[in-house]
Amino acid sequence: MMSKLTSMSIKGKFLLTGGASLILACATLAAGASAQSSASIPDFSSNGTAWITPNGGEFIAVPGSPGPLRQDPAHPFVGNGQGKQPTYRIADLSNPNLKQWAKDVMKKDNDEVLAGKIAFTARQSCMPAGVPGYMLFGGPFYFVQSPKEVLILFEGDQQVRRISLDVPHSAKPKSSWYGESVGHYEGDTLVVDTVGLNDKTFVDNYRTPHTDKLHVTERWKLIDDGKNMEVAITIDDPDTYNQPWQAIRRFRRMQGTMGEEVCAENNTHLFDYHIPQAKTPDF
Amino acid sequence: MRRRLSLAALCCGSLLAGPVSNAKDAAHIPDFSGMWGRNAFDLEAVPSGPGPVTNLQRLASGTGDPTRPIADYRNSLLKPEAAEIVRQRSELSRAGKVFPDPSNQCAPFPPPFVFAMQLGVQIFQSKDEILFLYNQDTQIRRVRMNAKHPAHLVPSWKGDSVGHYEGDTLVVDTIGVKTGRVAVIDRYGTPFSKALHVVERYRLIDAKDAAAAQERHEKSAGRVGAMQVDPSYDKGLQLQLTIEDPVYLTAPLPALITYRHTSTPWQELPCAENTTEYYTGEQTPIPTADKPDF
Repeated sequence: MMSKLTSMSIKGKFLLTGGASLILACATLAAGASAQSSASIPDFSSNGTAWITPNGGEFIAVPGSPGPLRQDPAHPFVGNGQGKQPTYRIADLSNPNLKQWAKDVMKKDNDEVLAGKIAFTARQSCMPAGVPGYMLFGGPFYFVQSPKEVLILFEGDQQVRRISLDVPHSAKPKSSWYGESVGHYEGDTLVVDTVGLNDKTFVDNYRTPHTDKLHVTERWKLIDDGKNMEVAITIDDPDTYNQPWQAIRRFRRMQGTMGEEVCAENNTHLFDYHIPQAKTPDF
Repeated sequence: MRRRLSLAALCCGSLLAGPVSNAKDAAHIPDFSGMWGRNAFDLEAVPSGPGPVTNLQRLASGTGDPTRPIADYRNSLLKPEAAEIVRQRSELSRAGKVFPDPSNQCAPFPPPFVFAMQLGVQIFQSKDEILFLYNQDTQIRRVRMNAKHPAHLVPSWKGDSVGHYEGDTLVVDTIGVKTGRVAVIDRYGTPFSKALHVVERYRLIDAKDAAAAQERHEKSAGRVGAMQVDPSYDKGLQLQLTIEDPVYLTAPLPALITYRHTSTPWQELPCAENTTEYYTGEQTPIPTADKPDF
């Protein structure tokens, strides 16, 4: 393997890339519907609120909707900490809502993973998971609610998702990892509409691909007297699914301070295999 | 991947009611909201006296070469051991090689490195907390307002930051920044120790003064960004920085950072997807193994 030092000594250019990327023109966002008064806005954020999910790494199915991908019964899933060798997720490709091209891609990937390939996950690779994939992270998530914007901060690698409030989508959203999200409050619910997602992410932990036509709608609200939060998700990608489908994720409230979880320095947790490192610097 | 949730009683404040409306004396608190940007790396020099380490490498135009940090290691604020470290790193840079820093290692940017390297910042103010969101690799800093540093501090990448307002100025005090092989103040590899103490003082300044300060700095450090200034905003934001480290510095190091309100949209810049070589512009292949090593 290349040394870690070599492989990681390449990111300095990022600074120039980052600076140069600021050249992109500002999208004109006309003012949208009038904002809901702050007094009635649901509070997802105050008093050190953090949200974690006890639901594992799958979407909850919604009755009447095409269902989420599930594990192939022929290859039972074993998660971490269950006292047995963990496995990767292998999708049951009999799901009738999936277009054939996606099944073909996933079949090839599943076969390779079953043959020993390391399955891709965004967390392993320090990459953004996109929408709706990031909701399958366990958390903790932190919300920041300002009059013009909502941020959803994921403690892991401190990823940030941004939702602009009370504005329409721009005419030509730039493709990005978390897409272009606009939102507004409807009573006790934060409604978020996301387009402009790049096709580098997966919809779920089964590595279900999608196209850049992916359109995700979320409705976030507190439940159980604020002890928990639920997001109802509608996922529409006419090139990947035969019809839009719905799913749910639920989160449990905790109080805490955001810790530092640095993806690049974590080399000890996944199967105890390590980021390759050279014994001596190669410069 | 590791997951950790501290159950300390420290709280992040709600921003539900906007940036300042929760504050008792909200009328006196400056509004730093929105996106701020600059187009050059490095800490800015102060008007007189010793200041930050500067770049000896110049472009034909006479400005600093932002792609090649070769330091003036004879800066009087550097103790001899710090000067020697900076000299060695400059020699690497002169040879076209890269030494590790938080940026090229996809690590969190501690203060004061974060000020020297980040070109964009967004500030969210609430009664109990200030949240700084930096553009590159989406780095987050959280400042607890009107709080004290804990008596027993566990060093962390970004340290422990507490803040308060002094009239029109936000004052942030940071200690407890952990050290390691990328513990550097700036792109020149100026080292810091566990004794690092950083004080930030933010205040709004006249937009013309901000423009002039940025122009001066770009002439010195070289322009790299293309941040578009928001013409409707008549204020700039200036950070007066004091960096103390009695292990490596002969005296507190003063510096400035000047931002202007920008209309440029926020950009996603995940560090992990950038595989571009710093000097050559070539793409470095991601390391791969012939077979899994587990």
